[in-house]
Amino acid sequence: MGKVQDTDFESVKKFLSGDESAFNQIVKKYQKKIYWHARQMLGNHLDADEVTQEVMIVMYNKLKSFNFNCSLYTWIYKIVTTRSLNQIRRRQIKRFFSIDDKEEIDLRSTTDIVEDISNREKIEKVRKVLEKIPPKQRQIFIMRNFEQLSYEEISKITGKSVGGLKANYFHALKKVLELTNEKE
Amino acid sequence: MKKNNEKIMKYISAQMNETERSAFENELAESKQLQLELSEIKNRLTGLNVYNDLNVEETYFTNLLPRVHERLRKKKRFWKLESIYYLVPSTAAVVVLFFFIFNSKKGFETQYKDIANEIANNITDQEVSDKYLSEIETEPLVALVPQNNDELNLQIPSDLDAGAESFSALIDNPIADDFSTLRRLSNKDLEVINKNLNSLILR
Repeated sequence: MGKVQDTDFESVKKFLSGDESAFNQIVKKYQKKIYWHARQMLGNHLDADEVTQEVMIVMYNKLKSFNFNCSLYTWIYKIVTTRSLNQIRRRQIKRFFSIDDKEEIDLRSTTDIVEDISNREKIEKVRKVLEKIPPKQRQIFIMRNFEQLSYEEISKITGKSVGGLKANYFHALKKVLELTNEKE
Repeated sequence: MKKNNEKIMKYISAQMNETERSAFENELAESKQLQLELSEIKNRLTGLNVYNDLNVEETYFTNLLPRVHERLRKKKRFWKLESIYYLVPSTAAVVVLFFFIFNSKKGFETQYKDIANEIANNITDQEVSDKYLSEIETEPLVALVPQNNDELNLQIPSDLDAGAESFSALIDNPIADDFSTLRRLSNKDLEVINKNLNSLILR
């Protein structure tokens, strides 16, 4: 992790000194992680794509305020999680006021970068489970279960206590097991 | 939900304290049922992780960076344009402000033009004097000027009871001194006036 961190810090310093290609390197390194976290949180490609691009724009504009106190990965993750939760809120508001465009909803369910149908079906099954978990519990579940992050790492990203995270993960687990039990 | 599920979830989510944990691990070592249930739950959770090794359109990730750069360029252009967005309304506000000021000045001038026209065309000199020059008339010194000017030696009433001192009093009067035509008269004219006055006195 130390070596990764050093390389990341080096890239940030290069970017801050005016080397635009360093930013491209950072993006290429983390773009898939950013996309898939957003995708798991939001459940569809279009929203994930929107958030991924937003995150990269924020990174570009805010890298000058990066203080090297945490890893670049943690810093990026903070942005991804916040933006994903914001996007969920936006969708909920749109749905509440029924201003979600029908064509857009259709487009969201049909547009995907996953190529084969069997994989799409698998993803769809997981999406249906995840969307029933409250967003903040979902966030912890994804980080613990899919991204194998430790509670300490998640705590740095979310700013929540480890105890609180454990409780959240416990409730998320319970819900997931109930939902997968129902299906079987 | 199976009876051990709660215990297993607590174990997986690391919510057990040290004592609970070692008790659970001891039980796990002895109970095949618990081992089965734990592995079943772990498998179910692992089965949810379908995101690894997916075949995805790699072009999406290849094109992502250029798209981000394009958006960044647009944003930069927007920020540059934003100064115009601020400039246009503020200029409009200034123009409107000037328009109001200019218009009110024009109105002011028009008002004066109307008065001037009214004075020139519709009001007699007497009315102008009564209406607009009342302040001048009420000023004592200025009011005296026309009365003590040319009228003095032209309109001396025939029944004026003027004593010998009257002439010198008239000459000594500061108003007469400054404004009277007496000062502009020649000695010959003054002699005529003197004679007239003396004849009045003698009468």
